[in-house]
Amino acid sequence: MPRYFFHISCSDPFDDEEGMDLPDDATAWVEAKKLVRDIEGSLSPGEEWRLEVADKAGPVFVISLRSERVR
Amino acid sequence: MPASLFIRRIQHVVSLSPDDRWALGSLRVVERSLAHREPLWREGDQPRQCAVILSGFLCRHKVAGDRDQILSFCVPGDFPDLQTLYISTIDHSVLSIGASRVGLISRDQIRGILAGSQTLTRLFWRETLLDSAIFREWVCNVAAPDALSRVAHLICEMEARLAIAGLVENGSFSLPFTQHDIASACGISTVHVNRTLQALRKRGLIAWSDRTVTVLDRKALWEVGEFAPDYLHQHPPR
Repeated sequence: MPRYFFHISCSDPFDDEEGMDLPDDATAWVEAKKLVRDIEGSLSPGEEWRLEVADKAGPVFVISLRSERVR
Repeated sequence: MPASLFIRRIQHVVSLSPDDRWALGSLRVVERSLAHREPLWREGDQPRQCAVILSGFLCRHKVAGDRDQILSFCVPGDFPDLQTLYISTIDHSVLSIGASRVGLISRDQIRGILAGSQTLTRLFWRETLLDSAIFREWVCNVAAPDALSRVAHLICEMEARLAIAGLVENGSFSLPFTQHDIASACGISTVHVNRTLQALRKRGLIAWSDRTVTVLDRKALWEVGEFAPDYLHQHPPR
């Protein structure tokens, strides 16, 4: 099974050194969507949050969120 | 000795007469060893025995759709399946977490000692009430907004319950949970568990290596986990 790494960039970044063995890209996408819940504990108004899912060949998916403080 | 583990855990809240101690001590126990994730019972089983945990951890477990949910953890001295005394079919699985050893006691023997002692009846009833208190707390915890809080709460609870069982030494205790186990218990992804543990370490709240957890800053950990041990009811009933 390929190993996928889930790196998060935001004010509280996470460099995934361990990674996770998953059957395929589709499963990695499901994991990526679950990980979006991370913003509950780490995103403040005006900040950005970005998840990069990579395997050993390089990035596979990116989910990027931008928040704005409008007032 | 299985009875002494159980007695040690409940001694703060109930004082047992010599007769009750003798009754518990006289239970015939068959020991069984379990490997990681090996089921003691599967959903739908009709056990004729109850188990008391002699070493290691067990969990109550259910598969809901494609989700693998751990409903609660049980520690040494706990009976993870006491409800099967009076409810014949078990509605969830009971699995070992890490390697564990349990003592199996026939349901008839336990029913027998309960019939002979009001104190023991109340004590076993209290055990199931305590169980439901822990479940209530857990429902609140899995509704906590962020993963950090859920995982912190789980660590706080395990430390508190292991301390009651006399299994915490200088803030350290053995915890053979995998990241997958924690993910199943907290309803988050395994990657998120990894991230969360890293954050708890980085903040200096815990150390976790070789299956041993050390709580470094209890006050801060309790705060992050929104933990208060009241629901473990460690005061004698009035």
